[in-house]
Amino acid sequence: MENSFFKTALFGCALAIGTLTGCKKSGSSEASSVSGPDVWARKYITLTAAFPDATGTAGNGGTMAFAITPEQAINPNFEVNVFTGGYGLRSQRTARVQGSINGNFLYNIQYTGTDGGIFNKYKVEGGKSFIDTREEVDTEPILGEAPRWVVAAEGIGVGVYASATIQASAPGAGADFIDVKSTAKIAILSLDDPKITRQTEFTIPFTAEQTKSGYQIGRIDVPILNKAKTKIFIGCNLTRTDVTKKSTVNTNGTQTWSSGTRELGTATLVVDYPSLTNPKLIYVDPTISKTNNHSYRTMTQYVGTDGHVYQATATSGSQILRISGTTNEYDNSYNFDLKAALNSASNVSISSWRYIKDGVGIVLYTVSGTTGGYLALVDLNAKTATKLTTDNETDIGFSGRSANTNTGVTAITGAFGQFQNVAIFGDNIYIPMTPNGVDGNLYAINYKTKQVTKGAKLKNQSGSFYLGAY
Amino acid sequence: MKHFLLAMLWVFAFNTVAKAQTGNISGKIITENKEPVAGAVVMIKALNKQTLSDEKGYYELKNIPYGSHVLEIGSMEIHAKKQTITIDKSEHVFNVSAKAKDHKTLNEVSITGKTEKKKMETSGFAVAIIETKEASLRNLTTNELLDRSVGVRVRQNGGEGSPIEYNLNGMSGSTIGLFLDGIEISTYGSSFNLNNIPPSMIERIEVYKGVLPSHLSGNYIGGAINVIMKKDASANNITAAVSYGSFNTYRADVGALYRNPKNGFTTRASGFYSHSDNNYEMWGKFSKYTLPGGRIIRNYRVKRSNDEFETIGGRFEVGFTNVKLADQIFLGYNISDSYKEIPHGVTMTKPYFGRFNEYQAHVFSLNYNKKDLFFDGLSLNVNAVHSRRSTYLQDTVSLRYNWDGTLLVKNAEGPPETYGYSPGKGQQGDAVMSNIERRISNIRSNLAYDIFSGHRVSLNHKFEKSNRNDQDLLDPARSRWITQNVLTTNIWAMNYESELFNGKLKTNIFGKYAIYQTDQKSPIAENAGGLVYENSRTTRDNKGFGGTLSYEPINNGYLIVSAEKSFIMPTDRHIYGEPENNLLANPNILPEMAINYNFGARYNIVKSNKHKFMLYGNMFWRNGYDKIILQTRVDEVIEGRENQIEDIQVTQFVNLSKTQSVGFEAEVNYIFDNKLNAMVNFSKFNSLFKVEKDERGNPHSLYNKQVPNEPFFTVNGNVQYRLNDVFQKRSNLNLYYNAGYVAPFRTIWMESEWFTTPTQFAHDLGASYRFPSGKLVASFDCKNILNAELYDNFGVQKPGRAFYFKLNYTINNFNK
Repeated sequence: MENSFFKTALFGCALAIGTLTGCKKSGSSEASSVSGPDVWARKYITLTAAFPDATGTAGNGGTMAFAITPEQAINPNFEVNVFTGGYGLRSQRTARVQGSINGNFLYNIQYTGTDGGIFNKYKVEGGKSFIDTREEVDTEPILGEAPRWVVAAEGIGVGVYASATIQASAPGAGADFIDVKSTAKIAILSLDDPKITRQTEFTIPFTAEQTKSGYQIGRIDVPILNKAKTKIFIGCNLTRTDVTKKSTVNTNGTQTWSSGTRELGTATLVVDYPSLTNPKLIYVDPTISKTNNHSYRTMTQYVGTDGHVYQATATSGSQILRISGTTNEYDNSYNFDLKAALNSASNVSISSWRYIKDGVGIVLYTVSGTTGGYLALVDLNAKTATKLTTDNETDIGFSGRSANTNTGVTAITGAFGQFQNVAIFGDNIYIPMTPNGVDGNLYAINYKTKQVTKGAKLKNQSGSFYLGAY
Repeated sequence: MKHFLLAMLWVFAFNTVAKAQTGNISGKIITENKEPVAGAVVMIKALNKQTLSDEKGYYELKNIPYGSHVLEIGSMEIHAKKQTITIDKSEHVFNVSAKAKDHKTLNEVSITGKTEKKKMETSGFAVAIIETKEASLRNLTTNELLDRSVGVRVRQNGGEGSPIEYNLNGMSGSTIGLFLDGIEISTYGSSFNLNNIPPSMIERIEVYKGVLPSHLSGNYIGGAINVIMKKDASANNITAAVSYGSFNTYRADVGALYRNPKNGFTTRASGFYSHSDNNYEMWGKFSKYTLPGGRIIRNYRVKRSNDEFETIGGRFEVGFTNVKLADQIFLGYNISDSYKEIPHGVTMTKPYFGRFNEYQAHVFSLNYNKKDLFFDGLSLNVNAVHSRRSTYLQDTVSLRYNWDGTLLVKNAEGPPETYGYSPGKGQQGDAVMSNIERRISNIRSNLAYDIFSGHRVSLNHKFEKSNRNDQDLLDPARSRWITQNVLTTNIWAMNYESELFNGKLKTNIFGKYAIYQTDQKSPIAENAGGLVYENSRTTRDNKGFGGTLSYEPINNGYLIVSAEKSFIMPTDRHIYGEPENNLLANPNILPEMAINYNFGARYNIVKSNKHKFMLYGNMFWRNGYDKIILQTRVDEVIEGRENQIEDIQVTQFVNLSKTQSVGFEAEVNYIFDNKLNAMVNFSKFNSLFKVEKDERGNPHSLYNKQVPNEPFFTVNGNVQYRLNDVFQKRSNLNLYYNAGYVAPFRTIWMESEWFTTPTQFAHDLGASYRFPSGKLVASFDCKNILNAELYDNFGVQKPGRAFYFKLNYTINNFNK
C-alpha cells in the first residue's frame, strides 16, 4: 500500500515536471510548399491497405500507405508491411484513395468522423514518408460525410451525390405510388490547387412517363471526363418501384415500397463540362445490358486511346460498354462480355478494371460459385481475354462470403470487394494481391508480353488487405 | 400485471406475523456544565441500533426489546460513556450527563462510529461514496464531482447540458446503470439528471464498479451510479445559493425543510435554476473555418455558438418522519423543464444552428420505509414513482452555416453565393419536429429481515412499465403509423448478509432473476378509417448471481472482494434488426454474459490525533463473453440484398466472442490536524481485444491489443486547506486545488496524431469563506486555470479558463 502511494506520488511529481518542461508538439510543422500538379517523373509505386475498425470489422478501420521503388516492386525478396511500417492516411473509416498520373500525389476524402468529407492531398516521398500538403477542402456541404468521388481527368476530381423521393397518395400503409423525383449534386474539385471550382444541384431528367412508372436513381458514382473535356459521364444506380403494389410501413411509420421489373438498359447521366448544365440520361439498348454501372470503391470508366469511353457494368456485371467519343451516346454496336471472352460457364463479375492502352485493359474479377479473385488481360477491340495466374488466386479471402445463419457459416470480407486502384508505369501494371488476413505479393504484369512477375512480398494481418497500387 | 400482483403479495406477506414487546427510549445528552451535546452517537451495539442527538442534545431510539441493554454515547465533544438500562415499559427517558473534552470544536463534528460512507465502502462491494455536503457550497456540478472520483470518467460532448457518457474503469454506455434513490434516473426525464441536479439536493452518490448490490438490478454489467437525494429530517432549515460565472452561467438553488417534532409532520421543498450560454472559445485542431471554395483553416479561434442550456426544476415532498407507522413516509412531486440547443452532432463535422431539444417531466412519488415493522428486525422500504415525460426535438433551419455563424459561401471567385434554403431539410438531415411522450411506472420494494444479530436476508423486487407515444409534428398523419411498444420489467433479487467474528467478516450473497416483456402493436393496414394492428408479445428472462466479502484482519484494515456473473439477453432490435435503417437482422445472436471480479483493500492509519492516512486499492477484472456490439458491414453484396451494391453503411448486431478489462485503481488520502486534506487517486486499465481467431480462423493479429477510444489512465488530485479566523474571528477560509490528468489515447487502431486525444491536464483553484455567523458562505472558483486544451470526446473541445462566484445562505433551526 505504502509502496503504491509513493509510486503515485512520484508519478504526480513526474507529471508536474513534464508539464512544466515539456514543449508542445506543433501540429503544423511540416513544410507544405510541395504541391501543384504532378510534374515529376515516377519514382515510387505506393501501396495502400485497409485494416479493421475498433469492433473488428475487416477492412473498415482506415488506410495505411507505403511507397516503394519500381525495383523493389519486382523484387520477390523485398518485403513490405504497410501496417507496421506505413503512414496512416487521415480517415476514421477506410475511404477511397486516388492518385496522380506519375504517382507523386495521393488524394483522399475522409469518410465519417470529425473530418468526414474533408479532402486531403499528400506528396509521396518514398517509404513511409508522405507530406500532408495541408490544402484541405471541405466537400461535406455538397457531398456529405462519405463522398463518392474519383479523379475524372488528371488534376480534376469530381464528386457526386444522388437521392430519390417518392410521392404517395397518403401516408402509412396501403397508399398508392404517384411519382418519384431523383436529385443529383455534382462538385468539381481542382486537385492542383485544391478547392471546389464549381458545383450544382438539379433534378435528374427522367421523362414524366418514366418517373410515373417508378424509375429513379438513388445513387450515382464514377464520373469521367471525355477526351474533349466537354462532357462528364456518371454511372447510375437505376432502380424501379413496382407502382402496382401499395405501400407498407416499417416500425418507424415510414413507407416502404416493392421493387419492380426494370425495362430500361444501363443508364449514364451526362452533363456539360465545365458548366455542369444540360443534364441528360443516356441508356444502352436493354437487350445489351440492364446491369448498373455505379461501381463500388473503384473507378470503372476510362477514356480509351481511340477517344471512346469504356464503362464496366461493375461491380456485379461482366460487361464493358462503350460511349462514343463523337456522339456522346452509347454505341449499341459494341458489347464486350468478359464471361464470353473467357469462355466461362459460370457468371463472372468485374470487381475492378483499368484501361491501359490501345484497347488493352486489366480486369480483376470473381466467378460465381467459385472462391478466389482472378486477373485477366482483355483486348477490347478483339474482344478477347487472357486469364493470368497468380499464387493464391483461389483463396476465399479475395471473393469473401456471406454468413449463412442456417448452416453456421460465418462471413468473410473479400479483398476484391474493396479493391481500389491498379498502377501503370511504362509497359507494366502493378497489382497487390492479398486475400483478407493472408500474406500475398505485388504482381507486375507486362501488358504487351502478358508476362507475370511475382514481386515484393506483402505482409498482411487479420481482417486486413492491400487495396491498391498508385 | 401478474408479476405486479405477485410483488404486492409478498410485500404484505408478513402481515400476519405477531408483534413482540418493545419499548421506546428518549432523553437528552448534556455535559457536566449542562450544555447540550449535539451530534453525539447514541447506540445499543448488541441490537445494532444507533442514532444521533439533535442540536439540543435530544435523542430517541425505538422498538427496544424488553430487558437489559448497554447504552453507549460517544462524541468529539465528550468522553465516551456506557450506561446499562432496563426496558420494561413502552416509554423510558434516560438523560445522560458526560464529561466534556478539553478542545471543544463545533466546526467539525467527527463521528466516532462508522459514517455511512465508511460503512458502505467497507461492505464488500467495490463502491466509492461521494459526499456532496462541502461541494454544494462551491461552484461544482454533480458531474464534476463524479469526474474527480476514483475510476470514474465523465465524457461530455461539449458544454454544460450536453450528452454524457460515464465510463467506470473501462465499462461504459448501456452497461452502466444510472439510478436516483434506486430508481432508474431516466424515469425522471432528461430534464432531471446529473447534468442539472445541484449537489445541494443530493445526500451522497454511490458509484459501484462492476458488481451491483441486489437493490440495484437491471441489465447492467459495468456498474452503477446511484444518487441518494437528501433524506435528513433532523433540523429545520432553509438554504439558498446563487452563482454567476464565465460564459454567462448563472445558477440558483433553494431548499427548505420543516419538521413538527410533535406529530412528525415533515415537508421538504427544493428548486433549482441554471443557465449557461456555453459560448466558450475553441481553438484546437478541430476548430475549423471554411473559406469560400471549401478550403479549411484549422486552429480557428471561435466562440461556440448555438449551445445555450437552461433548466429549471422543483421537488416537493410531504410526509411524516419517525412516527409510529413509518420511519419515513413521503408523497412527492418532481417537476423539471429544460431547453438545450444542439451545436453539432456526435462529432464536430459541421455546425448546427437552430437545432434544439426541450424536455419536460412530471414525476409523482411515494416513499415508505419502516424498520421493525410488525416485529423486530423486519424492515420494509418501498419507492414508487410514476412519471410523464416528454422530449421535443426541432431542426427546421435548412441554411448551411460556417462555424462563426455566418452563411457558408460556395464559390471562391465572383460575387459570393450561399447555399440558400432547401425545403424539407434541417441541419442534420431531413427537417424534424417531433415529440416523444413516455409514461413510466417504477416500483422498487425491499423487505429485509434480521434473522438474528448480524444475519439478514432481504428480498428485492422491481417493477417497471413504460410506454411511449411518438408524434411527428411535421407530418402528423404519419404519427399513427409508428409501432407502439410497451415494455414491462420485473426483477426479483434476494440476498443474504452475515456478519461473523464480531463483525470482522461480512459476507453477502445474492441472486437475481429478471423478466422483460415487450408488447408490440404495429399498424399494418387501414380499414374503413380505422387501423388494423398486428400485436405481438415477446418475453425474455435472465439471471445472475454473485457475492461479496469484507474482512477486517487488523483494526481499520479491510480486505474487500466481490464477484458477479450475469447475463444480458438480446432484444428484438438485436435479433430482427431494422432493415429500413440499414440495420440487418441476426437471428443467431447469443445472450451476453459478464463475469466481474474485484479484489480490494482499505486501510486507515491514525498515527496520532494530527495525522491520518487513508489508503484504498482495488484490482478489477471484467470479462465479457459474446458481448453484443453494433458492427459495420462492408461486404458490397449482402445476403437478402443481392440486387443492391452497398456503398451505404450497413450495420448488424453481432457477438464479440470475448472482451476483457483488467486494471487497478487506488486512492490515498492524508489529513493533517483537520486542516489539511490531500487526496490523490488514479485508475489504470487495459481494455483488451480478446477475439482469438480472425475471419479465416487464424490467430487474430489484434489479439490482446488495447481497444481504441478508452481513456485508460486517469489521475486526480486535490488539496484542501482550512484557515480559521481569517479577516474575522470565528470565520473560516477553505482553499482548494484540484488537478485532473487523462493520458492520451487513440480513437482508432492506427497511430496518428489526427486520431489521438492528446494529454489532458487541468488545474482548478478555489476558495470558500464562511462568515462568523455561520449563515453565509461565499466561494470563488477558477477552473482550468492554465487554459489547457481539453477533450472528453474526440475533437470536441471543452471550456478553457473560467471563473465562478457563489453565495450560500443557510438558516438553521428556525422556529424550534
